[in-house]
This record gives sequence, structure tokens and C-alpha cells, in this order.
Amino acid sequence: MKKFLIRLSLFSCIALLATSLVLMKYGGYIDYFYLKFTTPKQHSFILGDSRSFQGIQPRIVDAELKDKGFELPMFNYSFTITQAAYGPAYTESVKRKMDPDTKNGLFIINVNPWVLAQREKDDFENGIFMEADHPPHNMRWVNMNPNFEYVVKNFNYLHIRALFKQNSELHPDGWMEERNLPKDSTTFVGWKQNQYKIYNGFAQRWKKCDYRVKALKEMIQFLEQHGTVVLVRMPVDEKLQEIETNFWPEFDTTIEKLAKTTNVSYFNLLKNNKYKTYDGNHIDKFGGVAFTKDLCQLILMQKNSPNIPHSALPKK
Amino acid sequence: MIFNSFSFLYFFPAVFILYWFFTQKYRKAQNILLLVASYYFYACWNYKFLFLLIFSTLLDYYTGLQMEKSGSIGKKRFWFWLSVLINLGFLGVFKYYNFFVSSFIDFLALFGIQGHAATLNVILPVGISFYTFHGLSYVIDIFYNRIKAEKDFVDYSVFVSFFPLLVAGPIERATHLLPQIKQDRTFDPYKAADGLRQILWGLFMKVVVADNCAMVVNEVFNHPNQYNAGSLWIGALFFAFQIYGDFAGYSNIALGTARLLGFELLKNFSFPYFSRDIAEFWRRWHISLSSWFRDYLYIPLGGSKGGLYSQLRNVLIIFLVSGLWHGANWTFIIWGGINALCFIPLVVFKLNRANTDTVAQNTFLPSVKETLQIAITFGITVIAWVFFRAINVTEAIRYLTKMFDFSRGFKPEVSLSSFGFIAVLLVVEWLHRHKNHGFELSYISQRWVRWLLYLFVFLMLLIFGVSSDTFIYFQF
Repeated sequence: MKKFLIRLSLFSCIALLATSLVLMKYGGYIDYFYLKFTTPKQHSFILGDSRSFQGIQPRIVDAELKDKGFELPMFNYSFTITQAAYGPAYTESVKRKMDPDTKNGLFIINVNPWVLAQREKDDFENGIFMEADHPPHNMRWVNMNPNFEYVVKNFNYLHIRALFKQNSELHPDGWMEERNLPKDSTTFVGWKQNQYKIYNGFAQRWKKCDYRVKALKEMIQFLEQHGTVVLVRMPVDEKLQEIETNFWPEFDTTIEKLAKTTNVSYFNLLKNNKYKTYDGNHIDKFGGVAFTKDLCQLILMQKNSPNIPHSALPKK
Repeated sequence: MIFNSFSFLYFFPAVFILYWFFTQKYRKAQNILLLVASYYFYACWNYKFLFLLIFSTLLDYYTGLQMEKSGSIGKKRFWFWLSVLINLGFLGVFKYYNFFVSSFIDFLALFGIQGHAATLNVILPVGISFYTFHGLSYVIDIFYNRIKAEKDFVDYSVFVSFFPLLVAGPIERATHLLPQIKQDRTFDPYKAADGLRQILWGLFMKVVVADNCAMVVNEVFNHPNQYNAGSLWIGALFFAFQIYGDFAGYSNIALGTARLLGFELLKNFSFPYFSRDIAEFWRRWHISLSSWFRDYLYIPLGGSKGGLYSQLRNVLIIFLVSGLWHGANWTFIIWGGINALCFIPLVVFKLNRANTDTVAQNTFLPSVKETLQIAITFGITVIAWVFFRAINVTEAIRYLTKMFDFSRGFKPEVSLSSFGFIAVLLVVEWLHRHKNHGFELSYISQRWVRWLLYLFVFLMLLIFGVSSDTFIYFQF
């Protein structure tokens, strides 16, 4: 028995080592989120769903806002629509991922009706949140490398064979670079139609709600203790704008009111999208550079002229 | 809880440690531990149906004792039929009620009679067909005086609900498993190591072969109209490997797990796709079920005794009942019927035992004749599996019709990457076709070679494994 157990333990160690090597070398290619939980605690964050996950690039923020008084580097802690919903769980995860000594962080919070909606399985009164079983909400350890907690709890997310094709890459700063962009207009139209279908489905199944808006307010209040918070509504194509507006017509008013009460800036950049998307919803990696630069300029202008209401700032 | 889950990865080592380090000296304690672990394993799926399992266990335990006590054959027969009818009654209600009701209404409709009957929204308790057959074999064996009734309730309960075989077999016999439960177990490191190899191979078959094939199979079978004949052939071919990888993979994990606990379960698969005729295929596929039907249905019906007509009738009954055992759907019955039709000529020409040895017994590769035989047998099973996979008979016929409609082209429009996994499976199994299981590497004397092979399979699991939360045979 003793020999058997020693050999079994030895093989388990080899297997664990092989797994660790794969995770450490290819972690950014095999999972959309894995690297977010292997990096150290951070000072500045981009929060939100896949729009900011792919559309706001931390390295651009770092370059544009260098020496402007923020504690950088920036870290993209956005997820996709399945996981990204403002609520107590997301706030708790941000608290875990944030360096508690942060004083002058920058927190870019991407808002839209979907990340503040009540989802079909949400039951706030009984503490049931649809996102609870997904990362980052189910993660206790958010800065461990290799992170086996992630592997065990979110094995379904891992797609290790992707290391061969490397169609997308999660960078260590948390930004998701999608490399598999549509190569022809037919694919682009197809992907766009798919997005409409997905969001129309959300509009039918989800409800606008106050609970998540309140939760966002609590998150903002926490983040304000550690630096500057800005809210941003990212641009999408017209048809998606229409679906969103029909779903939650007074959304902008709600957010403006929230921004006013919490004394943070709100940049509503939804309309007149001039940045290239690859499916009508996500700004691609090239458009993302321009968008991030423009956003940084807005942040700087607001920082330099804090008394000017953001609505008076030049529209991008 | 399923074998390819992290929960099993915590559960089994805990059981293993308690079993060999804390209860080893007390067989009774070991058996109680196995029973508690088995009930926990089952309750993880649905704790409410645990009561059904316990009831079924109590029923067969009690009727077994009553049969043995009975002074007269009449009383014995009473207890026997009570057990059989209640067991089959449960199976009938949970598995077949809706099927029989809707089939009866369809039958009435043939004569223009409108029938109305309520169907039930019944959840099929996982493993019911397996543990019911355990219990049935037990009472039948007592009735025919092949075994004595078990007096120890814990031992008997472990026989019925031993967790490695509880939800998808192999279907054990009291004559084989009960004596093992009643004797002291000693840890055999060689058997345990081979058990681990069998588990590793079972996982490869399930999460690499079966679950990768499943992605193509589900797509093609759900939308057959969107694909050409070539793709439909690929779909059917992949399903043959999906179901093999799924079920034989499960059996390998079950057998390996049991070996780690010191038990030898009945072999359930023996490289069936290397069979040279359908009779050989059925001696190698789901062996524990085939032999169950042979011993408890075919032989009592007269078996091969009597004339050719009665033998053929018995063969047909066995295959149809075997089909129905798999599920309450005409597709399974037709699947059984197709196999019977291919089996019957072998019986008529007395060729059903022509291939009882292993293919290419003394050579590395099969002869041309053997290759052709294997290809034809495999081709038949692939066609028959279409009925097994389709949701109803109409869909199966539609699928088969399109498989032979070459007008829309034959170039496959689906991912063929699973062929790589199938190739690994076939090569490894071919090399070990004389062995007890597909990954029995104990004959390789250099440890580092064995370990490299383990690591290779482990990396295949890690890189190409697909996580799924069920096994096909759980539904049976």
C-alpha cells in the first residue's frame, strides 16, 4: 500500500506539474478569464461586460494617463454578460482584487441596461443571483498563480485545445484581444444578426430593476474611497441601441441621477458609433485603441475641469 | 455525482482512505462504509429516489428470506412472484407507463377509436433498470435454489447499491458479487494499479472520444435536413463511437474503481467493434446484460433446446426485450429487431459460435477476410445505432433515407477532428485486444514507458476533454 500511494502521489505531482505548465504558459489562450485571477492585486480597474472587456484597453489607458495622478497600471476586470451584473457579488470580488492601500485609483465602470437588469433566475429577496456560480463571484482566491481554485470551480470555461489556434488572447492586464475577426461581410452580418437575437432574447426574459442600480451605487461609494470613478456607456450599432432603449427607455436618466448623487462623471457615448465593431456590439481591437484614447481624453478634461458638467464636454 | 466530476475526485479518495486505513480490520465496518457511501453517491443525484432504492432492496431481501423459509412450493412461488411483480411494476410505472399508454392510444387510432388517457410526468430514477435487474437475478436464483438467501441486510444492500455499479452497471449477480462482499478484502497493489489504468482509459473513452463525438452527433441528428449524406454518415459513425466510449468508458471506470476497493466486477465490454459477426458482437457488448437475458430469459424460454423454430422465437424475444430494456420507445425495439434479424441467419446456419476466439489470434493484423467481416459487422451496427439515437421511428427513417441520398453531395460538412481520437482508441484497443481491458499495460516492464503513456493519456484528457454532466446509459 505504501509503495502504491507513493507512486500514485508521484504521478499526481507530475500530472499537476504538467497542468501548471500548460496553465502558466497558455493561460491567456485557453480561458477568457483565467489570467484575471492569477495576477497580483490591482489599483485601477475597468469594470463591466464584454463591451469593456474587449473595447477598453488598459495599455492605452496607461500610456494616455501616465503621470496624471492616477495609480496605474490599469487592470481590466470586466467579464461577459453572463457573469457581469452589478450586485453584491461583483463588488465583493472587486474588493478582493483591489490592493487595500489604493488611494488614487481610476475606476472606469461600463454601464448599460443589461448589466443592471434583473435576470430570469434572480431572486434578490432570497439572495439568489444568477451570476453567483460564475467567475469572478465564485472565486475566493483572485491573485494566485497557478490558480487551481479556478480550474476546479470553472472547469467548463477552460478550453485548453484553444492553445493550438489561439483565436483570442487574454492579456495579463485583463484585456481580451479577439483575433478571430470576420473576414467578409457575410460573416459580419451573420454575427450581427446573432447579437440582435441574443439581446432581443434578453429583452424578453429580463426586467429593468432598481436593486442592481442600488448595488452599483454601493460599488461606486466603495470605489470613491480609493480614487476616481467614471461611468461610461459604450457605443453600439443602431439596432442594438434601439433594443436597449425599448427595454429601458429612461436608463440614461437613471444613470445621470446616480452619477449626480454619487458625484461621479457619466460619459454617455452610446450614440453615433464611429468605432469599428466586429458584430455590432463589440468594438474590435483596432477601434478599441481609438475609443480608449478618446475616453482617456474625456477623463482628463473632466479631471482638469471638475466643475464643468460632463454634458458640456465635447461629444466624441 | 458522476465519475468525471470534481465531486467524485473528492468523494472517492475520502472513501478509499476510510476504507483501507480506518475500517480495514472490520469487514462489517467496511461494508457499512460502502453502503453509506453508495447511498450518498445516489442521493447526490436525487435524494427522493433513494427511498425507492431502499424499498427495492428491502423488498428483495425480505422476499428472499421468505422464499427460503417457505415450507411449500406454493408459498415460495407466492413470495417469488410478489417480488418479481413489484420490481417489474416499479419499472413499468417509472419507465414504461407513458410508452404503453400512448402506444395503446395509437393502436386504437388505427381502428378509428379516439382514446384518451392521462400520461404522467414521470422522472426516471437513474439506474432503476440496473438495480431492479440486480434484485431480480437475486430472487430468481433463490427461487431456483442456486443460492441461499442473504441474511445480513447490510451485505445484501451493498450488493444492490455498490456505488461503482449502481447507476449504469455492470449488472452483477449475487453468485459473483455477494461472496466478495462477505469475505475479507486485502489490498493488492498490482490490481489497484491496473484499476487506476482502467479508470484512466475509461475517462479517455468518455471525455475525449465520446464527448467530442457527441458534439457532431447532436448537431447532425438534431438537424439532419441541413446536412448532406456524407455528414449524416459521419454523424452515425461518430454515434457508434460516442455510445461505445460513453458506456464502455463508464464500465471501465466502474470496474477500476471497484478494483481499488478490492472487488472484481463482471466484465462488460470486450472490444466489440473488432467483432466478426453480430453474434460475436453481442458476446462482447454489454456482456452483463446479454448474459443476464441469456440466463434469466432465453434459457427459461427453452434456449436452444427444442426445434429451430422455438430457438429463433427465443432469439427474437431476447433482442426485442433487450431493446425495450434500453428505453420506452419503438426506436429501441426496432434496434433490437434489426440485431435479431442479423443474428437469426447465423443461428439458422449454425454460425453463431463461429467466432468465439479473439480476432487475429496469432497475428498482428487481421486477414483480409477478417477485415471484411469486421467492416460488415461494424457497418450493420452503425445503421442499427441510428434507430437507437433517433428520437422516434419517423426521424430514424428520415435520417437513414438521407444517408443514402447522395444527390446533395458526400463531402462531410462537419468537423472531422474526432477521427483522431477514434484512431487513438482503435489502435490502443487493437494492441490490447487479448487483454482484460484496453489499457492493461502491466506487460511493459519499463516503468518510465508506462508512465509516459499515462501522461500522454492524461494530457489528452486535459487538452481535448469535454466536460459533460451525464452518461447515456443513466437514462436506462
